[in-house]
Amino acid sequence: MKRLLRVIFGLLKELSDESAYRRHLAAHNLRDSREAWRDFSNARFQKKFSNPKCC
Amino acid sequence: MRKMAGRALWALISIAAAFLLAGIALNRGEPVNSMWLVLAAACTYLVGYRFYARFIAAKVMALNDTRATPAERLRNGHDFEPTHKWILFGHHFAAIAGPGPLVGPTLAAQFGYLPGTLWIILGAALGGAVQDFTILFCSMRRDGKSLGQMAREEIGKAGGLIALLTVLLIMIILLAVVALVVVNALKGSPWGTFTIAATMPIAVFMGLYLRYWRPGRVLEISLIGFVLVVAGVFGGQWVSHSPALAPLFTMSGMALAIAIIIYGFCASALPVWLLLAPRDYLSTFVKLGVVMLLAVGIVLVRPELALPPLTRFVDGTGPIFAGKIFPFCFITIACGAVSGFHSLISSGTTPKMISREGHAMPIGYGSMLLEGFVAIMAMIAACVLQPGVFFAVNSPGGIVGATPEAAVATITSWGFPVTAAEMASLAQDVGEQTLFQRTGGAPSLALGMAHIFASGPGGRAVLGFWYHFAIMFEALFILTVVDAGTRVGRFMLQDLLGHVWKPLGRVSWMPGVLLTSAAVVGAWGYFLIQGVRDPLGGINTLWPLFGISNQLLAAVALSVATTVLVKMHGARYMWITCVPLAWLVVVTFTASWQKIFSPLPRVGFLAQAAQLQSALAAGGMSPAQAAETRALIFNAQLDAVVCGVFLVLVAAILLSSISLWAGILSGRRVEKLHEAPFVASRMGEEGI
Repeated sequence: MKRLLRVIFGLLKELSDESAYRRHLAAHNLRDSREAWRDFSNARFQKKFSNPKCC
Repeated sequence: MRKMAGRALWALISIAAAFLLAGIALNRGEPVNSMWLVLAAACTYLVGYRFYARFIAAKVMALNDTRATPAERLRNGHDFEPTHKWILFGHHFAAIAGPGPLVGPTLAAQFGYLPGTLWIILGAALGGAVQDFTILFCSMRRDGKSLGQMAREEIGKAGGLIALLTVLLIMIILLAVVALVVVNALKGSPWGTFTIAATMPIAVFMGLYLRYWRPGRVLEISLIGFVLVVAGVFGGQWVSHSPALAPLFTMSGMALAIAIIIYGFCASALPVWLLLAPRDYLSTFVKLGVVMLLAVGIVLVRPELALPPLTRFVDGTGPIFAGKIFPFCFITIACGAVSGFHSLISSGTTPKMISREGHAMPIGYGSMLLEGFVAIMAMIAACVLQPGVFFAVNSPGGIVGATPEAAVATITSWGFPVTAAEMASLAQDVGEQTLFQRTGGAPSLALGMAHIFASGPGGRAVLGFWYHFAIMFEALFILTVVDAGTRVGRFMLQDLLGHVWKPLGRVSWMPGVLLTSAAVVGAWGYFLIQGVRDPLGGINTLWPLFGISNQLLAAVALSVATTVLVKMHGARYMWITCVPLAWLVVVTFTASWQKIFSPLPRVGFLAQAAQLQSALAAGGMSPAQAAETRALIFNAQLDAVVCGVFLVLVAAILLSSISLWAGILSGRRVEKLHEAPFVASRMGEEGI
């Protein structure tokens, strides 16, 4: 049950890009800030919305 | 002993699958409980996953967990990132699940529940899942390359260009048809229109919250956004009862079409963080939540199917769309069984995030089976409605008659009794002025879902809330497809036009952005308005066109996959992708041919144009009617050309592939695989 909840929460964090943001902060040795999120989300959204959405 | 027990269990599941499928197929007269469909799908998919997918993984692909995946070799913390198997499964499923598997089965229920159900179950296991799995495998072995790049490398330069053009054309038709589904669901509905309109400021608020107030707290704001959207559904009911506000949100089809076109343009040109991204987060969570809610609802309520297994419309005279069961049932179901668009996801983000090769099986094959389940649930939701109600909601006025009395008389004469009073009472229960002529599938799906949900607490008193909640869910994620698709179409167009004049290719040059956004919106907007003006409801024309294009893209993907299999093993395993490819080619080419050349005006575009031409030549029309008829003639001819272009593009890629396979198999050509070289994995589970 604990494992299932962990997977569900992990999925929600992945779908919301929160995990990717944490990885971005760790990879670039940054602290959570408005500027860090802006840089991350600009690059993330540009990539994300360059791919067609499924029908 | 354990092995024996395992074998006995799988034998039991296989027998159950065969028994349930036979039970559904052979049953006549007795009402069928929806659990038969659910269990038949579950058992068949389990057998397909355990035996067929495993055979493909082990013998054909030889998936190797000691081989480093692109996520490990090219890890950069952005695109390439090893991800937990089930998290990536959910991510991939959320990406492939679109409106197609909800709307397609609902429309195909016109033939009865049997043909669509069988195709969803068998087509997903033997066709759709195989396509998704093989393309994911091919991309994973090629550093996460896209379908277009693989087509160019494996088949030839023309393959890449055709794949790009096909995707662009499909997107234009797709955006038009899904926008039409929303228009038909919201026209004359102040409750629905207000709820959807409310999602726009809510999304902007979410965007500002994320950008300025609580950066990065996406889950937090998504939860707030969801609460606000549900408040919007309640607010919609209040608006629909307000004499001052209701008229403001009671819009005609044309007004809604124009509003959606303006929305698409704004979403394409505005900064993505402001509107598009927050809507996308919200839509993803709502989509997954509602799909799970529907699954739980069906299992708890176990409703009986009211539609018969087969209707009289298998002969091609159906009111929702014209055409016989073959090929149009398969074209209409489209994404619920096989979706060409999935190949873009399987060669997009997912292959860059797989941590082990073995995960490609649950993610590629398993996700498509889950999508098949969604399609089965949509079929159930449509079929729990009384047939008379189902056809009254989905039939255009041009077929059944413009007034409620004429419509119920026509539908009752088909053997599906329904009364105007019954329809009026149902409309009142769900807070609508009328439920007649709501073509497109979304309203009948919402009615079916509301029927299931309202079996729980609240009963019929909450039918209106659930109906509008379902409409909100459908419109929310359909509009997400529209806004994101318009933006992607703009990028593709800028990419192409950049070769003609460099500034047009720059995504930061505002005149170029506005011009290309307008061009893409203009292209799908044209088809949308064509659908709104169509006296037969538009869906009759646009949905088959979308289905054909989607299945043709699947044919392109399966051609690429077959080419890779031929290069790997010669002719030995090419049947795995060749059988679904051959089926899709027969279905799509027959459907395209009939849509262009059928002598029946309701089916063939050219026959429709000729009929309208004769009516125009006969005279007696007012100048306005004559102008409208001329526009309809042009539209029918344009649709024939679009269908023909799809056919030619895919025939070209198919011929290139066949010539390549023949060369390789006869030994005349030696073609190399373009796989990335083997690198041993250094990653344990803890590294993910």
